[in-house]
Amino acid sequence: MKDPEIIESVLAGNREDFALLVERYKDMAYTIAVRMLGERTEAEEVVQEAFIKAFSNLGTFRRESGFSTWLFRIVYNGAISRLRTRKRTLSGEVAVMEKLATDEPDYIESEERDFRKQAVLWGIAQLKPVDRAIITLFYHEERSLREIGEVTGLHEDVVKMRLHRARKKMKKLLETKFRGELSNVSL
Amino acid sequence: MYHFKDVVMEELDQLIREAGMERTPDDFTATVMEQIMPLPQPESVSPVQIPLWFKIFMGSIFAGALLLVFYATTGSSEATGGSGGLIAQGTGYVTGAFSLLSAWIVQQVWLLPAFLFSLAGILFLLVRDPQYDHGYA
Repeated sequence: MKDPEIIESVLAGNREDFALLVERYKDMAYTIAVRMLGERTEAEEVVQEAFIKAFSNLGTFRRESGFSTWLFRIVYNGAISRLRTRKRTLSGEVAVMEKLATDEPDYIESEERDFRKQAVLWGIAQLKPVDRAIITLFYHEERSLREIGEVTGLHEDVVKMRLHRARKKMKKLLETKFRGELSNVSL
Repeated sequence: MYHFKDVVMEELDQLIREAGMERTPDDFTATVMEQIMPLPQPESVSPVQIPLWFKIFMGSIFAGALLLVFYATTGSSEATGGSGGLIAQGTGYVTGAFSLLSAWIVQQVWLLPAFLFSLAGILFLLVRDPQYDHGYA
């Protein structure tokens, strides 16, 4: 069943069909939230709230964009709101940085593939929350620049520029931080 | 020996993709649905439709108000006489244009932009008017 059909069904009173939309988009929504907030519990709350908000406002959804774009925008705004209000006691970046500290033995000895993944996640965590969302939407969801603009409220050209800068920054950060530590790794 | 500095952008892109998506806990959908089931049923809300006759009516009011300003300004020009009429005529054309555009915006877009546009027209006249009055008083 396609998204518009599910929406019609939910609006017609079959609210259990909303579970289909939750199943379809929960992981991507969660990925955006985790990348932006750097904290799983908080990200889960944000995504739950986003789904509830989407359900409550489903009648006002104008369908000018896709449901997922609309949902991700709610998630994005929820994450931005959390970032504004929460105290910076142990931010996501700090948590990830601590986990990925270069003197941590488990990290150095971890599997090659997992190590690269952790290194890239560390790189993403160093970016600004907006750029993390852009990177996530672009690479994992393969959204167009226009759709990313709809989610983030930024102009397409701004998204393109931020994406380019974020990639360059990540490359530089990874080069600096992991120089000499990735021996015998091939891509 | 492999260093990250050797990573070209395309490879970095690949690495980012490989980092993959996060997975929600197994009971995530059930938890969300538990919270959704007691909520009120969402209803389709159609956008408010403004009747055309009402838009035209409001447009006429705006246009009328601005035309009054237009007559007031040209009237003062005629009373004072002299070559200032040329400037007054120019002001009148501008006011008339503002009036027509205002009415058009009301019909096409809606009230607030037309109001702002009308306000801009009135402000324009207030700025222009004293100038030519001074010249012929």
